[in-house]
Amino acid sequence: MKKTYFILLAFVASYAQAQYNLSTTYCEHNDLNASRYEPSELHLGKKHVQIGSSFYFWIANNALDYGTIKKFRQGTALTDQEIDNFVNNLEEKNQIGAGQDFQIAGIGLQLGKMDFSFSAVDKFAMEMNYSQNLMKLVWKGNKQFAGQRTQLGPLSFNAQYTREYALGTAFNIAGNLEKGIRVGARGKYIQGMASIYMPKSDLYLTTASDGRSIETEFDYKLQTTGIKNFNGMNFNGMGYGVDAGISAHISKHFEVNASVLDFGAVTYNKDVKTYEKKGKYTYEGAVISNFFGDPRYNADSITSLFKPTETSGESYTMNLGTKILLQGELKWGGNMDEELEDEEYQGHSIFLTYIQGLNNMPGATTKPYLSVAYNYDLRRMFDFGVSASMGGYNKYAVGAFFAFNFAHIIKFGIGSDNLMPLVQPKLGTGADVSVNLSLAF
Amino acid sequence: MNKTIPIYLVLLTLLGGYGGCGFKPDKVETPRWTTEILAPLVKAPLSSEEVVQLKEVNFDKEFKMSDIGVPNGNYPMLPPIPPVSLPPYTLSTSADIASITFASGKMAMTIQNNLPINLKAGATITIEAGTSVFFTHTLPNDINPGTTYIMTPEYDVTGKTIYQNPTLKVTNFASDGKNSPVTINGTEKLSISFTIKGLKVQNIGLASNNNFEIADTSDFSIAGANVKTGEISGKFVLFADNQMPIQVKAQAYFLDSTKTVIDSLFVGGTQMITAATVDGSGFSNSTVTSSVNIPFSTEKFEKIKPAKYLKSYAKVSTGSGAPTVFIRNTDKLTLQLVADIKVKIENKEN
Repeated sequence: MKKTYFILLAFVASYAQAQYNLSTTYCEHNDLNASRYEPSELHLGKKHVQIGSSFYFWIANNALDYGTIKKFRQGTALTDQEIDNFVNNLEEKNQIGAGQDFQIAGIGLQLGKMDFSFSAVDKFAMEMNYSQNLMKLVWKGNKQFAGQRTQLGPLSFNAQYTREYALGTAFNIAGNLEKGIRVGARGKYIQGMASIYMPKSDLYLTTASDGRSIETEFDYKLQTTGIKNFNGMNFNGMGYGVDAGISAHISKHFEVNASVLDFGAVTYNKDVKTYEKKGKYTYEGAVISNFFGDPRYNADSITSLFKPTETSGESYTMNLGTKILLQGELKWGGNMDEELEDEEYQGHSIFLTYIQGLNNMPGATTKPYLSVAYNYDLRRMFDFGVSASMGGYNKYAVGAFFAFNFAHIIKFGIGSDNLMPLVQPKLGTGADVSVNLSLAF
Repeated sequence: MNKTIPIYLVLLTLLGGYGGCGFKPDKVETPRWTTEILAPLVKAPLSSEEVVQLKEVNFDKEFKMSDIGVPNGNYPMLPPIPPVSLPPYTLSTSADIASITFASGKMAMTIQNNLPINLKAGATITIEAGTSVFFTHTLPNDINPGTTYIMTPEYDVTGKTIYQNPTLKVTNFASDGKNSPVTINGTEKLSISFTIKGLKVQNIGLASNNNFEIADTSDFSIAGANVKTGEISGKFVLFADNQMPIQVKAQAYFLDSTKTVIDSLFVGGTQMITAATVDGSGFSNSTVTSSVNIPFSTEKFEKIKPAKYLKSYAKVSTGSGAPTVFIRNTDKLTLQLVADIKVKIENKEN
């Protein structure tokens, strides 16, 4: 049976991918760090206090694989065919994302049947969107688009650096942890230090079939704050957010969890610069005047058409990267009582996780994400497992995670949802790593 | 006339720039790729004034003493001359142009009296063609011998039409004569000159079966152009949108430093730009588009690389048997050069 599971995992892994720090939820299940992603899963067991810190870094995109990047960096010329393949295999809209979460401090408390948490997290996330048409244009020129109105957008970049302070709680509203329903929520106060926001980035290109005109239509808006004089203690915006979740413990072997994460927004109203331009311009060649006299032409007027208007002092609101997480956990092996220091305990868990981003903002994408993972818990001291995922920012990913619980007091974990570049460079389009440290007593 | 034609430089700069761009860190070998460009490069809207090359209109006439009935000889005195008309004189204008109606412009008239007698006030100078009077002016004051009269203010020609070979008439010419001995030897002249400046043309009439040529040599050099493209193929297309009722046969030649032709722009001789059709009054009522393909390759580029000059040539003509046709100032002949080329971008070391 075990062999079957591993074969299944290996199979899925070869087609799968990630950027949601699920390894923490798989490996640190129920603890303070994991509950940031599943609020209703906060449960300190028989401990009363937990202090934790964590770090997570990720980078991902849906198109360019590590194998190609590596080859390029090694100075090996890419073949036309390789670049052709890259361009042709792009999706209509593509994303590159990166980010890091640093939980500076986290505290969990269990008072009676209720668990509480507090955390302060520095978050940075960015995402860039680009279209396949734009890459096709760069690669093969504009003739391929002759006679068509071609959408070259989006070409946008969004980034946000925030510090959030979250207060959370989780408790059962029915039954217990073996069979019951548990809810949890976290309310967040968010300080925004810097951001780049492009709510509009439309760009259309129409090349006349005979080439006599090229029409560009553009509508873009870029807003920034805290870029020029960045200071980690200088807050240019403020906002609120909510994480909420519900866990249904169907039996002691099976539970499902649904969470809504990062619902909220940050409004920036200090040091705001806004650049925008909307227009249409038809280029019919550099106009030469006085052809038979002293010919003159002026290309400056063309660039001035695209020069944006700059305004200061406005405010703007950036939604958080809101997403819905659904997770099912199948677990077996040994006594499920987590506080039993059973030296014979061998726990097995299989997770199936689906994440749907509700917007394309830093840290979220509307491209759905699916992950499957296996975790093995040995004597409640060692956790380790593997995961496989697909979707989201990446194409495919495989991950692995490990945690060591020393004396049931200090727990150190390290994991990754995406080690694909190490395993299959040609399939790896991103990487991430998470480090978790907690102290419970 | 030497001047620079940027049309080619724009093109070659574009190609040079396109081929020259590249991300090139130390260890990274830039890729090679072939890209297909279909894009307008330059556009030159030519006005009627540029095509006909009408910058300024000048004409003049000199009258001698014999024109007023005083032959060469020595005279103890010249009696007063009663008002007479001088012989009408046909001003010679361009044979190509049947008429010009001006949208604006100022005509200056200068009369220099190098006759031994004065020209009395009241003399009238007229330019006319048939019954159409273009200009008339009566002298307000006498013009004494050896002095010059400059008409003030200048004559506003807005809305006026001047026809081919108009007649200059001087009427009511009178003089007080001269009371001292005088010798007339034929060098004594009364010069009347006209200059129309700052002119804007409302329309130009061209007679049927008429043609004229425009030839011009410009400095040209692409020797310094750094075209790093490994291969260029394809063509340029020259489009002409002609609203003028004239046809143009055009060609351009690339000349080396000795002004020897090394290549031509158009393959297969001059290329025709078709005339616009006209209404019953001779004004165009359409825009006719014609195009010429100009094959281009790296070989062509290399061939014209030694060129130092570009000689452009255009033969403008009206149709035979057609009535007089008119080019309005709103009529344009728009030339547009479009690139339809495939460029292979290569790493310089490749």
